Amino acid sequence: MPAKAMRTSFIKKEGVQGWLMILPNTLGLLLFYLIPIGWSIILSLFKWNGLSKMKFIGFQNFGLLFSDASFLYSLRNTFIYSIAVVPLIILFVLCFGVLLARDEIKGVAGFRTLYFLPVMTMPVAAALIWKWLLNSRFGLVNKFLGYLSIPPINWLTSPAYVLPSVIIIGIWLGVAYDLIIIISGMKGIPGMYYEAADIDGASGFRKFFSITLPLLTPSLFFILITQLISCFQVFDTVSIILGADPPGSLWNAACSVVMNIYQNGFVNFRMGYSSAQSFMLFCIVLLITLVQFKVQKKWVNYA
Amino acid sequence: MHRSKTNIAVSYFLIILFGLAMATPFVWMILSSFKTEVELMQTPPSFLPRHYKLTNYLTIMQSIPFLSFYLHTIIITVIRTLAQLAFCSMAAFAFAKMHFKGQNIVFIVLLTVLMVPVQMILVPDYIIMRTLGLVDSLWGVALPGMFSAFGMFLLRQFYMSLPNEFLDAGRIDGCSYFGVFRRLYLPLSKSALISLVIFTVMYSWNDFLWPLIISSSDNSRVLSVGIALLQGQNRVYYNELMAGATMATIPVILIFVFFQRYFVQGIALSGIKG
Amino acid sequence: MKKFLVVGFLCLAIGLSGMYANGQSESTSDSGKKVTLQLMYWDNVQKKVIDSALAEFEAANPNITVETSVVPWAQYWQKLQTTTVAGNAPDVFWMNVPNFPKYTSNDLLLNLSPYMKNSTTDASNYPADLMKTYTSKGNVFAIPEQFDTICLVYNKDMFDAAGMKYPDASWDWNTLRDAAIKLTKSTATGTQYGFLSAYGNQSGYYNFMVANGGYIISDDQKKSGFDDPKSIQALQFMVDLIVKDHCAPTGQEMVEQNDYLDLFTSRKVAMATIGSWSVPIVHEALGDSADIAPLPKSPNTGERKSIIHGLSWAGYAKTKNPEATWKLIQFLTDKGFNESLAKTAITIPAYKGMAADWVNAIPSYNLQCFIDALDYSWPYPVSSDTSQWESFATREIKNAFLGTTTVTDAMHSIADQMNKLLAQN
Repeated sequence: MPAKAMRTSFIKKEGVQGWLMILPNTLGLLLFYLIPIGWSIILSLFKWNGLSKMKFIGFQNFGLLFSDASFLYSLRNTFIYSIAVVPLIILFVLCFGVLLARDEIKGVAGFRTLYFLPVMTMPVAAALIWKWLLNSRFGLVNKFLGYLSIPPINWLTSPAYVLPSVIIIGIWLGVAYDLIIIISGMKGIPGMYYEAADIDGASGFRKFFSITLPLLTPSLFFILITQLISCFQVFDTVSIILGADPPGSLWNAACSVVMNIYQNGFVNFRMGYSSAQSFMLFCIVLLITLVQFKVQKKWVNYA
Repeated sequence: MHRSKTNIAVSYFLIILFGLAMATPFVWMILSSFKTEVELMQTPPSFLPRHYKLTNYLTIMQSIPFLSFYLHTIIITVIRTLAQLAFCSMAAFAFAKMHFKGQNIVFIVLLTVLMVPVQMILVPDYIIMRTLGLVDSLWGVALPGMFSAFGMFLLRQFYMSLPNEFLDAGRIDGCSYFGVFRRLYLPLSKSALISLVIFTVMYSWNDFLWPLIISSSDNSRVLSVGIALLQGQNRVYYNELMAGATMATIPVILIFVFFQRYFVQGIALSGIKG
Repeated sequence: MKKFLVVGFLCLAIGLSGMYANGQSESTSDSGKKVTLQLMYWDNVQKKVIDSALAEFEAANPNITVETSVVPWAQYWQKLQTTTVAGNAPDVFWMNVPNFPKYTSNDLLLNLSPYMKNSTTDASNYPADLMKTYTSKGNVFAIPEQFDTICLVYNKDMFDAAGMKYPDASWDWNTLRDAAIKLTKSTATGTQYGFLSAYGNQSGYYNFMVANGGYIISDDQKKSGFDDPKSIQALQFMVDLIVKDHCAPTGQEMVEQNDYLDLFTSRKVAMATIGSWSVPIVHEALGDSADIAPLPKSPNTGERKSIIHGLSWAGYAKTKNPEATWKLIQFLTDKGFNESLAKTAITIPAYKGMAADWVNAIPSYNLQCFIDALDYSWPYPVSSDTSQWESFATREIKNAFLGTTTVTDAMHSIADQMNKLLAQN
C-alpha cells in the first residue's frame, strides 16, 4: 500500500514537473504562433482586403478554392515537388553523411562547410546564377549535356522542365540542414557498437545496415517530418526560377501553394481567401504528419 | 589495405566533386561582389571579375549603417540562441523521457506551428507587439524567435534515442527530474545542442520578414533588412548586394566552422552503457 | 473542443484590441507640444537628400521630430498594410499610383485639399495627368514627388555601323520596323537584334496600346480595354516583330534574362523603349554611344503616347498630428526640396520647371525627350484592384510573347478576367 501511494504521488510530481519544463516554450509558441494561427483561421471566414472593414462570408472562401485553377495547379505542383525532393534529399544526406562523418578523411571539417554554403547564399544571388547555369543557350548545364550529346533543354521556359529545375534547386538548397542532423546523429552512435562489429569481422555495408541505419532512425524520422513540412511550404526555391510575374504557362507548371497564398494575400490583398488556402495546406500537412507519427512505431528505433 | 585506400580515394573524389557543385553559387556571389554593375549584368555573364575592386564594399559601408546593423543582428542572434537552447532542451526532455497527462496532444499542437506559412502570422504578431509596446525594439524583433517547435522536436528525437537507465539512476540518488536532466542528459546531448545552435544562428541571422515588419527605424534594424534596401523598385544594385551579403555571411561561416568541430564520436555514451 | 474555444476567444480579444488601438490614435495633440512624426519611403538612393531636408525641416520647426524608415520596395506595401491594420501607420509616406485607389477608397489618406486652400501649395505646379491620378472625388490626397515617362533609347554605334540615320520625332511604327529589320544581323557573339519588343507594361505595351487609339481601362474603371481591336492591333504589332520579322529577341530569350533590358545594355539590341528611371544604368553600360528619341507614332492614329507615373507623398488619415503632418508634406513637395532633389539628378522632380538639372546631368543624351513627353502623356491606368489585374495581365501577355498563346486569345482572356474583377466593385 505505501509503495503504491508513493508511486502515485511520484507520478503526480512527474506530471507537475513535466508541465513546468515545457511551460516556457509552450507559452511562447502559444502567444506568438498558435494564437496568430487561430486568428488567420478565423480570418478565412471573412472577405477582407487588409484595409477595408472585414465582411463575414461564411465558407465562401473555401468554396472558391475548388474552382480556382491556379490553386489546384499549385496543389499538384507542391505534391510532385515534395514527392520528388524528400526521398532524394534523404538518399543524398545518407550517402554523403556517411562520407562526411569519416574522421579519417583529412580536412573533412572543411569539406562539410562546402555543403553548408547553399543556405548561406543570398536568394537573389542564387536566382542570378541558377538562371545563368540553366540558360538554354549559354548555360553550363546544357553545355555539359552537350558533351553527352544530349540536345539543349529549355530549363527555364518550357512548362515541362520548370518544375524539374525547381526540384534540382530544392535539393541543392535542402541538403545542408539535414546533413548536419545526420552527421551529428552518426556521431552520437556509441563507438562500442562498431568495435563489437569489427571483432565479428563485419563488412562496411553490414555495419551500415545493421548498426548505423537502425540507430539513425530517430534522426531520419525528424528529417522526414520536417522536410515534408518545409517542402509543402516551398516558396524561395520556386521564386528563384519564376520571379515575380512569370508567363502564365510557367506559373501553372511550377507555382507552389505558398506562392499562391503570397500572391493572394500580399500582392492581391485578398487576405481572407489566402487564409483559407493556408488552412487547407495546414490540414493536408497535419494529416500527413499524424500518419507519419502513427507509422513511425513500425520503423523508428528508440532506446 | 588496398581496398580501403581506393575506398578513401573514391570518398575524396565524391566529396570534392559534389562539394564544389554545392559551393559554386556562393563562390560566384563572392566573386561578383568585386564586379561593376555593368559587368555583373552582362549577357552572357562572367565567372571571374575583370578587375578586383573594393568599390562596392566601400559604397555599401557608406550607404547603410553596417556596423550598428551588425551589432543588432548579433544581439538578437545571441538572445534567441540562448533562449532556444534553454527552453527547447527542457521541453524536449520532458516530452521524451517523462510521462504526464496530455503530453502527446500538446506536442502535436505545438508542432502545428511549423505547418502554417510565416506570412500568415505577421499581422497578429505585430498587433501583439504593439499591445506589449515592443514595436521598433530589439526585444520585439527577438521575441518570437526565442521559442521553437523545430528545436524542441529536434532535441526530443535525440533524447528519445538516449537510454532510460540514467533516469532510474538519478531517481535513486533523489534527484528531481530537472536535476537528472541537467546533470546527466544535458551533458550527453552536446552534439544535438550544437546542431541546434547552428540552426538557430542561421535562422536568426537570415530572418528577414519579421524584423522588417517590426522595426521602423535604424534603432532596431538588422543586417538582412539593411542589405535588402539595395533592391530598389526600378533598379537593383546587384554588385553592392553581393558585397553586402558576403560581408554579412562571413561571421556565420566562421561560427559553423568553429562549432562543427565539436561533432565528435559519442564518447561519453560508449563508456556508460557498457 | 474546449481548447479551440479558448484559442478562438483569445484571437477575438486580440482582434478587438487591434480595432481599439485603431480608434484610439485619433486623438489630436495641441500644436505647441512636442510631436514626433514617422516617415516611410522605399528608395534608399534618396536617403541623403531626404535626410538633409528633414534636418532643415526640424530646424525650422523645433517642436517636430521626424523619425524615418526606409523599407525595401518588395515589402513596402506589406509593411504599410500591416502597420495600418494595427492603427500604427507612419504619418507621412510614399504612395504610388497603382495603390492609391485602394487607400483612398478605405479613407486611409489624409485629405490635403483643405490644407492646400490655406497655403501656397498650388496644384498647377505638378504634372496635370499625375495630379489627376492623385485626386479622388475632387479632393487631393497625395502630392507628387517625382515623375517618369517613356522614350526610345538606341545604340548609336549600331546605327553608325549600318550607315543609318538615328531615330527622330518623325518615326512611326513602320519606320521602327524597317530600321529594326535592317539592324538585325548575326555576329560572332550571337544575333544582334534591331528592337527590344518587350513585355513590360509601363515601359512597353501600354504605350503602344494607347498610341494606337486603344485603352487599358475605361475612365469609369468599369471596363477593360484589352479586348479593344486597337489595343489588340498594337500588341500584335509588337509580337509580330518577334515572330514574323525576327528583328527582336524572342520571348524565351527575354524570360531567361534576369531583366530583359540587360539585352540592350549588353549590346545585343539596337533599340528599346525605356522609362526615365533606366537612364543611369544605360549610361553606365554604354556611355556616350547611346542616345534618346521620342517614342515612334502609331501609323494608324498618327499619335504618340507616353505613360506617366510618379510617386507621391501622402499622409495617414488617422495621424495624431494632422497639422504637423501637412507641414511636413508641404515641405517635401515644395520648391525648396524639389530643387535639392533636382541637384542630385537621381530622378525628375515633379515640381514645374525643375527638370533642367536632371536633363543636363548627362549632356550627351537628349534627355529633354522625357520632359517633352509630358505634352503627350497618358495617366498610368488603375482601379481599386490594380495589382490583381496587372498581375494576370502580365502573365497572359508573357504567354503571348512566348508563343504559348495567340495575342487575340491572350487579350480576350485578360479582358474577361478583368471585367469580372471590375464588376465586383
